[in-house]
Amino acid sequence: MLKVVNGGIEILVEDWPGRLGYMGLGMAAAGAMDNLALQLGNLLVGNALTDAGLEIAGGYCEFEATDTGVLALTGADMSAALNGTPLPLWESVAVEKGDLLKFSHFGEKGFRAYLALRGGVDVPVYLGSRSTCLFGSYGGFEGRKLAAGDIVTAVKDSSAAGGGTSSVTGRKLNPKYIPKYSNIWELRAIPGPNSSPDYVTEEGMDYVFSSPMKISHNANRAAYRLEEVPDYFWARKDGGKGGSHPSNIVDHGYNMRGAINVTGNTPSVLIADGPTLGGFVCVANVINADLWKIGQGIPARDKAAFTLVTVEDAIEARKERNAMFEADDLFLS
Amino acid sequence: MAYTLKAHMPGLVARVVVEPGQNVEKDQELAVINCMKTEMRCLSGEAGRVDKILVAEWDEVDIGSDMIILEN
Amino acid sequence: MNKYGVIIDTLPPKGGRIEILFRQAGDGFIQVEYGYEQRVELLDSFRILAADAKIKRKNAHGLIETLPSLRANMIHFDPTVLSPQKLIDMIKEIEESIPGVDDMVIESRIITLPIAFEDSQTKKAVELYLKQVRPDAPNCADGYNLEYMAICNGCTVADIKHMLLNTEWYNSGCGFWPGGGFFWPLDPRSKMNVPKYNPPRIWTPEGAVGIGGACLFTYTTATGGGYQLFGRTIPTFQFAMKHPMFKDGPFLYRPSGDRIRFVEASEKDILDIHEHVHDKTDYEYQIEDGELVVKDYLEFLSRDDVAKGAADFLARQKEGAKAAPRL
Repeated sequence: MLKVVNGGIEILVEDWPGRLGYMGLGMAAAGAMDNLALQLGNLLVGNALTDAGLEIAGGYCEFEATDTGVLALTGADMSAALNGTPLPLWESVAVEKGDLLKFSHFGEKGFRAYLALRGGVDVPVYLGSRSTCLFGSYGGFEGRKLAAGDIVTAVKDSSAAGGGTSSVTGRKLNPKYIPKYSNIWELRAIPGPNSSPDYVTEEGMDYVFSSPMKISHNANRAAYRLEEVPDYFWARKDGGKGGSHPSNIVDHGYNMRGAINVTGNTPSVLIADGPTLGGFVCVANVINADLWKIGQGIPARDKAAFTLVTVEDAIEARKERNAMFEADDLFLS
Repeated sequence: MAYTLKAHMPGLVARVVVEPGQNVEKDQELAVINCMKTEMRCLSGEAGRVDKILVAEWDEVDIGSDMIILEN
Repeated sequence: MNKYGVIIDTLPPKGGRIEILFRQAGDGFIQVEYGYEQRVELLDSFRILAADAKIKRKNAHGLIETLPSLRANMIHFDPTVLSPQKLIDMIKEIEESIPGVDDMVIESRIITLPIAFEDSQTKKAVELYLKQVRPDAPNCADGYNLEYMAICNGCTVADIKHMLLNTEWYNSGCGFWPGGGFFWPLDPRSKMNVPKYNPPRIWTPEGAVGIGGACLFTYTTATGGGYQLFGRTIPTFQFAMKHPMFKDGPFLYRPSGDRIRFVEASEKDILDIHEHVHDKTDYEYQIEDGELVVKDYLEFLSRDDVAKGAADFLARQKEGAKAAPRL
C-alpha cells in the first residue's frame, strides 16, 4: 500500500514488544525504539497494540500510496507533507492511490517518526515478531532497512481491516495524551545488577543520577552511547577474572532492553538490537515505561538525564501506561 | 552565485573527499558524516567549483551546519 | 541497604552450594548470582543449568525468558503479572531441591561436528585481517592462528589438534551472536588458553571454529570476531529454517547444556555438508540425547591420570604464555 520512493536515512518495520524469548539463544528483542508512538499510531488506525508499523529515523524519505488506505503519523515532527499539504501528527488520515507522502527531517525535538497502517504492516512473522533486527540482518522486511522501490502492504485479513475505513479516518489523539518531547530526556531508572557498594562508588552512582549525559553521534539501535563517567565512578581496581578494567566482569546476561552498560568509562543504554550477553557491568536499567524516550534522543545533540526510582514506582508506571491505552477520552470524538 | 553544502545529519565528519578548486557535479559525493555508526554520504545539491572547505576530519557537525561552499 | 543497594534477597550457603544473591536489575529483570567472587568454575554453571531447567519447567505465568551464563542467570519477567518476590521464592524453592552435587544431573545432548583444520575459508579470514586490520599481527604467521596457539600453550600444533579432538566441549549458555554457544572443555588436559585478537577481525566465515581465553565458539553466520581460528565445521545455524533440523527455529544448539565433540574431516567433506544442509537440506546431524551427571564428572576429574595430566599441561602452558608475543 506504500511504495518507497526514497529510503532516506533509515526506515524499518518494527512492532512491540518485539521478539521475546530468544535472549538465551543470542537474539535481542529488537522492536520499536519508541514503542509509545508506534502503539498510539496503531490505536489511531484501529489496529492492535502489537501490530507492526514503519519506524523512520532522521527523515528525508518519500512514499507513494499504491492503494487506498488509512495511516497515522506519530512520533517526531519531520514536517511531513501529503501531496504538498502538511500532514498532521497524532491523527488518522485516508490516502488514495497516487498520493505522495514526503518527509523533511527531524527538527528541534525527537528523532524518530512512526507510520501506522490500518491492518498493520505485513511482513513474515519470524520467531514470533515482525520486527527487524538491523544488527543481525533478520526479521522485518528482508532483514534490512527499506530502499527505493520496496512496497509495504498492510495485513489483509487482520481484525482491523474489516469494518471499512470510515470509522477510524480522522480519529485524533486527545492532546493531553501526546507524549512530551524534550532535548533532555528524563529516564527513570533502577540500579542493578552491578551497583554500589561492590562495583560502583556511591559518588559514582550519584553522578549517574545527577548529571545529564550527552548522547554520542554513535548512538544507534543497538546502543545509545553516552558521555564518559569520571574515574571515581569505580569501587574496584580491576575486574578480577573478568578482565583488567573495573568495568570488566565474567560474562553475564544483560538486562536488555534498558540496561545502562559501562565499557571502559563509557556508558551506553542497551536497547532494541543490543548485545544479550557480555563481559561488562550493567549499573542500572531504564524502566519499561520510559524505554520509548531513548530512541527519540537526537544523536550528538540531546542529553539523557537519569532519575532514581523504585521497582514499585516502575510497576505503577507500567499500569498507568496500560490504563492510558484503555482510557475513554484517548481520542477526541 | 554560491551553494553551501549543509550537514544533513548530526555527527562527526568522517572525511572530505574534494579539494579547493575542484569542479564537481550535482549529486557528487563531497564529504562523509559518521552517525549512528554508519557512514552517510553528503551529496552536492548543485554543480560548481569548490571554493571553501569549512570542516575538517572529526569535526562535530549538527544538522544544517555549513560544510563546503561551491562557486557556480 | 543504601539507596543504590541491589541485593534484595539471598540464600545462604548449604552443603556444596555457595551463597546465592538475588540482584534487582530493573522492573522486569532479576539477576540470580552465585557467590560474590568473579570466578570461572564449571561447577557454578552446572548448578545454574540444573536450576534453570527446573525454572523453565515451572512455566510460571509472567516469566518471559532466562539468560544463563557462567556464574549468573538473568531472569526476564513481567512484574505486572509475576511479582518479584514470588519469582524469588520460586527460585529459592528450586535451589533448595538441589542442595548438593549429588543432585545435579543436566540434560545434555552430544552433537558430533566434523571439522577441517587449516581450511581455505579460515585462511582467507586470516589473510583479510592482515591486509585490512593489522599487517604485523604476531598470531597469523602460518596463515592460521595454530602456531600462535601452540606457542601460548607450550606445545606443538599437533598437540593443539589432539586436544581439540579429545574432549567434549560443554555449552554454558548462548549469546554474543544469534545461535552461538560458549563451549568449555570438559577434560582439563585440553584446557587451552589463548588471548583474543587485538583489534578484532572484520570478517569470519560461517562455520569457523575459534578459541578465546579458554572458551570455544563456532561461528553461526559470517560476522566479525576475536577468537583465534584454526578450522571450519558444519552449519550450526540456519536463518531460513529450511532444513528439517531447523524447522522450529534457526538454532542447532539448545540454550545451554549441550556438548559438542569434533571429528576430523577434509575440507571437501565440510563443503559437501554445507551444501547438504543449506541447499539440499538432507544432511543428517549426529545428535545423541544424554545427561551430564555431575557426580560422575567430578570422579573423572579426580582420577590420577587426569589430575596429573592437567597439572603437567598447566605447567607447560605457564611457560608458553611467557614466551608468546602479546597481541
